[in-house]
Amino acid sequence: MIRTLFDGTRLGGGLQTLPQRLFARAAPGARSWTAKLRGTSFWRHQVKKRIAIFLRLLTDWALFILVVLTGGFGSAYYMMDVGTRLSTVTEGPWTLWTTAARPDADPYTRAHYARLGTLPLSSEIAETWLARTDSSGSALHSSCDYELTLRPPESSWWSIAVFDRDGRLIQNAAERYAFTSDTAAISPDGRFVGLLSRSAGGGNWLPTSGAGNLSVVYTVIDMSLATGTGDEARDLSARVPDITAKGCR
Amino acid sequence: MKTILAQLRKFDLRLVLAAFFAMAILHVATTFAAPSIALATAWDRLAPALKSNTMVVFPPVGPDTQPLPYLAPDSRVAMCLFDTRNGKVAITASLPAPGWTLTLYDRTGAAIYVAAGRPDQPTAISLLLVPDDDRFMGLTPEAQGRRSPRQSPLQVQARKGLAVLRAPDAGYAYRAINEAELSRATCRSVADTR
Repeated sequence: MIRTLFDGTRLGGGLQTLPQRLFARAAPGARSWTAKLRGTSFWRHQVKKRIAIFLRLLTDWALFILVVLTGGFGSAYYMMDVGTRLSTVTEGPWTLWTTAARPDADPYTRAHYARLGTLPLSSEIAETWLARTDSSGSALHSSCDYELTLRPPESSWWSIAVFDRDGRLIQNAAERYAFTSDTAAISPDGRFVGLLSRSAGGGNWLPTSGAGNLSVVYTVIDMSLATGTGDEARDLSARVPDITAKGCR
Repeated sequence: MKTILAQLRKFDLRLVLAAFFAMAILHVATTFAAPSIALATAWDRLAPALKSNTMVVFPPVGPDTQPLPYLAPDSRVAMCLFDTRNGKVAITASLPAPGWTLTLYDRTGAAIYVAAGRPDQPTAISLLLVPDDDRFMGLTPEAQGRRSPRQSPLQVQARKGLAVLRAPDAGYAYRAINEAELSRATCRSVADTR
């Protein structure tokens, strides 16, 4: 129907666009199209036809606007919330916004952190990885237990913290919310093994009771990132923790 | 295949192009406007609670004392809302160990200066924030042919923003030391630093 608007309609024999036809003045001495219609037995049919044309035009414009709004807002939301290869690096469940808090950050990264309401560490000195799913792709949830395993970077400060879906800390009597390279217990084989569980566990246990969906943040502060000589040379999969579901209740 | 092509021919190419063009405009406008129209940016959350040009040491982060989302208790933080509209602002801090960072953010959350502690030696930071407009702030001692009475601080152009000093949590034994180090950091307006 929008095509009709562009191309014109052939109603009545002449090729006129719809607005022209609807609002055109009748020639002197001639009867207007409404007067003509009223004088015929088909006037009811003609009015119905014009209402149908108007409704089709309205529907088409509504559809056009809906498609534009959905496509425009939807694509912007996706790029700001999830990110793409233009602005993020992903490894398994982990996502890293590569230009976080940098003066030359792309607009998606700026919008992402503005919407989150956080002040991230600059990616010039730190990597801040965020995971909302386990390594198999299932959403992290407090009804499940997860094991985090990591071979920590040498000579860099790092931390692993657990939050609810919106980045709030999870209330717990043990007051455990994060482990850092200074406070975590490292296994004899040099690995960090952490447990996310609502039930008390030994070692590096982070309580998750009652949080619903979870998000885990892994931060590494490494000055050598600025020179490109540090941990970033390691294989991506070795740089981030594995998150393995151990069971759900 | 012919059916699909026949179906596709029903679409007006001009309309499809117009839709994509309108979508692209909306996409770009939304993305660029998002930092300004976001409901609760970090600046919106922190600015009402901070006094201008004063370093404030925040209490240990916990569920009831979490000033920002995703701010973990792996660090203690001290923050200063700097404002150079009325003159220069001096910031001093020490970064004694790896994990310590000092970051200056502008109102949109972009870092305009960042420094991190090193493993081999403490890093002393002395910054002088100057307005980012063309205001004449006077000649420097060097320009006047005199020796500066003290070591020149690093000058950073900035108008309004947040200075965030982070001290990593190194365990219970170090908390008092870290808090004392955070308390020594300063952020103050200076009339003349010559």
